[in-house]
Amino acid sequence: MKQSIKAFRYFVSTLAVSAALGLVCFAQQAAPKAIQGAAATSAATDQISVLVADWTRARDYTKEYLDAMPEDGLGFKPTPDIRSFAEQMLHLAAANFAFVSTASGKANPYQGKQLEKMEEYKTKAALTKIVMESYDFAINAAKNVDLKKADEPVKFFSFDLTRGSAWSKGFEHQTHHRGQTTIYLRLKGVKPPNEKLF
Amino acid sequence: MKQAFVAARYLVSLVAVSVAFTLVCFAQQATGGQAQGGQQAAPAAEWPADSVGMLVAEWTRAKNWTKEYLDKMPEDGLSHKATPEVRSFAEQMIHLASANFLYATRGAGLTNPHQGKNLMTMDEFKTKAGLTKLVMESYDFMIGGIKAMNADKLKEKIQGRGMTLTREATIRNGFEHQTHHRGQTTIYLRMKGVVPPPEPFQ
Repeated sequence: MKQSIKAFRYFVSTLAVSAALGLVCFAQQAAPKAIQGAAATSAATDQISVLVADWTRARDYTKEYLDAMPEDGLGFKPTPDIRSFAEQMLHLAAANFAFVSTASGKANPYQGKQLEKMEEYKTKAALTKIVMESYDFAINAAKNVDLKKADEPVKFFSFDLTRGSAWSKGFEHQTHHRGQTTIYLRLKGVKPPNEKLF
Repeated sequence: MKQAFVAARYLVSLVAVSVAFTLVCFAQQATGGQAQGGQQAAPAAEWPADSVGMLVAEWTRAKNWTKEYLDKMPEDGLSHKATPEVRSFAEQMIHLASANFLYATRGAGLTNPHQGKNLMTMDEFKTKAGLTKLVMESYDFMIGGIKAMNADKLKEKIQGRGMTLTREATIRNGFEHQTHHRGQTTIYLRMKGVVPPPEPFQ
């Protein structure tokens, strides 16, 4: 019996060592996976958070332009053959919807509508609402960007883009048109908002 | 003794099982490590795949577009101002060029070739030829700086204006800056009766 107890103690201790080794081993295996997962997520989150931050900054900057223009300046044109302030902003909004729809694959909520021509947006309140809506469409899509698809080719009208370049060119487009309206503000005697590059 | 024998057999078989578990476990770890290494070599969730190439293409397009603006403005339009308190067309372009030099200096870690000069007041940039030369030089300086980097260098974090940004984000801010000012000069062209160049978004 004494030998049997001794053997049983060996048995238990071996089991314990085995269990301990097994645990250490599984812990080691689990750890690198967790670290790997965290690193991949943080790189992805970083690019997405930059995209979201850029579009949020652009929205706030454009909002300052809309706030700065008086109601009677909405129809103002520096020369007769170009877009009015409201038309510039509607063009910017329509393009935000279109670029982001191409980039993200989300349906354009104003597909087929000529926002620039629609009189219902030519008050300051309605204009501000639709322009902000176009940026929110971009920001919400940016939050859910699938980075693995960013190099996928897409058609934007006749242009061959990638989803990623549709995002950058959409951003460039709104910068270009908001930039033009700086001079509309000046010509209406309004000091434009300070540049918001960061 | 018979019981001891049985116990010894249990013991041996347990050790064998334990060794087997450990072997399997280490083998799995080694494989896992290789797979992990393989993923690091080809990161899938980063865009664009060719970040240097994309920036070079964007800045080259921007350079050509700005060149069209400069070409379209007649010599006597260089000093045109939309209102008396704003920059003239030439001053907008000099401001854009100065900023390109600065963003490239910071973003690509270069030395500003015009450090300490006030480009805005220099006579040599008040002709169309002199102005065009300077503006084109600023784009070439940026494009050269980007080409000298690789994707890893673009991801480096640098300090600027009291905040931490990657080199890539700094260069993209510079891109936004020149888009904003070239955009403004669209209206200067219109006011001088010139139809501005079309938007090249390809």
